[in-house]
Amino acid sequence: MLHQSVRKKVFYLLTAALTMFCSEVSANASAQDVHELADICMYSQRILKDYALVGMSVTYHDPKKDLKENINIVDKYFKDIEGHKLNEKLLAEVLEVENSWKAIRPAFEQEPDKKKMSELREKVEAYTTRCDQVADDLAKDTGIKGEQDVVLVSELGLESQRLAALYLMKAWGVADTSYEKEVAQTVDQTEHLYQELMAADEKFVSKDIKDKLKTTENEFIAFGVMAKSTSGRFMPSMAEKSASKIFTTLREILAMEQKLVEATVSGYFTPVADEKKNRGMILKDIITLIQYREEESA
Amino acid sequence: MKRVIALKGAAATLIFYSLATGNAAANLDQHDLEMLKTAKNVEIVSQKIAKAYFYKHMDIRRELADKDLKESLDQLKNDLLTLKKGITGKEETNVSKFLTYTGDELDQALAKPYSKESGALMIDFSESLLEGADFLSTKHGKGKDGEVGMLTQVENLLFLLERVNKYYIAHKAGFKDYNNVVQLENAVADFEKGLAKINSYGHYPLPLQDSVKKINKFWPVAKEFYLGVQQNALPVIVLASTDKLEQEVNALVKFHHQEAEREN
Repeated sequence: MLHQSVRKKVFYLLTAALTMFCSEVSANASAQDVHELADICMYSQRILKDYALVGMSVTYHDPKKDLKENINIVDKYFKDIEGHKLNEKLLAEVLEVENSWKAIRPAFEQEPDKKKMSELREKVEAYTTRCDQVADDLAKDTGIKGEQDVVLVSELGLESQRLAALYLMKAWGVADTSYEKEVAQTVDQTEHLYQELMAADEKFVSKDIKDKLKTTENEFIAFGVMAKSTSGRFMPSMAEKSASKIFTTLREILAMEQKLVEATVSGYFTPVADEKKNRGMILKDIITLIQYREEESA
Repeated sequence: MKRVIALKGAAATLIFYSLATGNAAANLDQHDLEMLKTAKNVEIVSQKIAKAYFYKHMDIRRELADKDLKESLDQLKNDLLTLKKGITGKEETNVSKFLTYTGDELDQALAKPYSKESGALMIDFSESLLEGADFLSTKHGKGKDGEVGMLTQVENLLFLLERVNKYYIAHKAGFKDYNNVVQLENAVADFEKGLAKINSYGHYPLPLQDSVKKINKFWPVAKEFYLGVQQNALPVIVLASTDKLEQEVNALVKFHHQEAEREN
């Protein structure tokens, strides 16, 4: 009888350990991870934009200062995400993006070089595209309904800053044969994302959010007109003003969107910190169950 | 303002021509001509606004600059309304929204005290207005051959003088970034291309041949001021030099206006 009881104890403890182990491996990405990585994608295009502004000696909004600050923000966010408990696959993806950043970063700390701008943009382009994909993977992993809409908002932010970087590169006189094609694609993509958000279910993209989104319409139109122009005239300060206004407004929308979507997650989402607490609860429950069974056997 | 009047005259000539060639076409052309005339007005006031803004804040012929600024802003407001009423299609709607947006941003910048930031924006807003207006004037510009074509060329010289002067005074105010220098150089080069066309025109009467000679004589000196070769030149002298050039170009505008009327 005693032998049987010990066997049962071992079995339940193993079950408990296994539960703990599985729980650790499948820890969901948190909403914060998604936000920080989405921010990294946006900030990286902003850094490229500032690089071009500094290169052409534009002083509006002090791009030199912004460049430095934004590099530090990206570094900080990577550190934050790494410090969170991500599963192995997602962590590998984040590290892959971070390694790309580390390879590009030194160029941004040097004096802007017109000859290197085109090559640098290609690298940033590949890196931010991957960054965006990983942000999307993190969003899916959170299991939060509507988190994809949060990613859509940040994608719109990314596209707006990409358009600004492209435009300012052209304004600096950096020739790129693919410019027109890329501008057309980016403008189409921003229009597509904008329409998708405007058409989204109000449960996930509220009327208030849609109203706020509408306030960016003129800035997007202005960018479309400026970037598609072939006149050879450029407005770098105005482009910087519009890009920053879009960026600020979209970050405000992002905060509203996060509040809306993530406030309704209790049924299917547990933030990482709470999950650890829950794992403790599960273990406690199993021990209680073992004790109950033992009492029953006795 | 003289350029605006000349364009109104040219528009009237072309409207008369349109009426003579049939009502349906005339209605279409009237719309095009109204849009062309208004867009051309915006092109020139866009440059005048920024130019006057910098002259005013650098305290050079301040009263005149202030008057120019106010008149140009009033003109811009009316013209933007006219363009808004006349636009058709998605692309033109976007350009009209772009112009209105820029006009609003311009008002906001003007309401603030002068600063390095508002000065940088002022240059760009004037470029944005020009950008939108240029799109519309190109789209609605018709009948640019013959004398009407020459009239457009000569009027463009007036526009370029305003533009060159804008970049010159902005440069003096400390806006020396890459883009401003490139735009100033481009405007100078464009002026020379236009001047070459004037020089190859063979029908000027004697008094106007004298005007052409004067432009060719004054221009190289003014060009040195604009491009900063004469670093020590006083802006007030540069402004007077530009006025002198405008006076001679205006004489040519008047002539081509009459010729365009006669041709049609």
